[in-house]
Amino acid sequence: MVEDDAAFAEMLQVSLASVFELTWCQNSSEASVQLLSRKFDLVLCDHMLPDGMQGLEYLTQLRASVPAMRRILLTGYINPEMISRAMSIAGLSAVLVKPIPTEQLMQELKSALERPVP
Amino acid sequence: MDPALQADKVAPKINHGAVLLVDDEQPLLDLYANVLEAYFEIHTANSVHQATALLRQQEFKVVVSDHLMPGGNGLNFLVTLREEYPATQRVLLTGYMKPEMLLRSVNEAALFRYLLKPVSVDELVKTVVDAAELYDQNAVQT
Repeated sequence: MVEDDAAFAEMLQVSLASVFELTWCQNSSEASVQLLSRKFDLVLCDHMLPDGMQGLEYLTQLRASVPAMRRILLTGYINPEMISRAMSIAGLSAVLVKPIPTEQLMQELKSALERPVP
Repeated sequence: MDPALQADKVAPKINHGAVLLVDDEQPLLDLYANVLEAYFEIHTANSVHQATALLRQQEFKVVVSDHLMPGGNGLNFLVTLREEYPATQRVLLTGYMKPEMLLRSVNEAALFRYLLKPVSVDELVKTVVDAAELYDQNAVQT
């Protein structure tokens, strides 16, 4: 999970910990270090990251560098251009709009993990 | 357009696989079929009902569906298609995209692309060729 909002990230860590092995990174640089150290099945990434990198842009890079890892974008808003890029360039499993109930998020993560990487 | 596609265009029909086009407007269906049949084995349906029947008869690499059709909208049809034939790549043609349609396009239908009408011929051909390539890549990996 790449998320700079500590309160939101901690809430997710508590609620998802019983089902998933979750690693929390506050920005894309931290995430890239983690990705070098081990294999992840899925990355859940906020769109507005603190290090000047947009989540969608980072996920697009990850599609090239770690193609077998599923990618989900968390965002406070959507627009047609974002969705087009999510489909065609970033190959996302899902785009989730905040605020999102924990149960729904858990279901989306499970669904994405059950399906092939787009 | 990709030079390779241009070369294909002037060559005799090259079969890159079966593609199903779904639209209730016959002139548009004819137009799409005419431009795509240089590359694919094209099948057409005027309704979701007819398309569903064709899907039971053979496998398609790509299904291209209009959104607004009497008897069932294209996005709902493609959501169902994903569940029943997950390997088939899905393309939606639509005149508009509401916010809830945008999310469903990714999260439920997992579209390869959506194309806003009026659709350019080059864009349609490139999209369907790319979608068929992804189908082939996925088939090799599985």
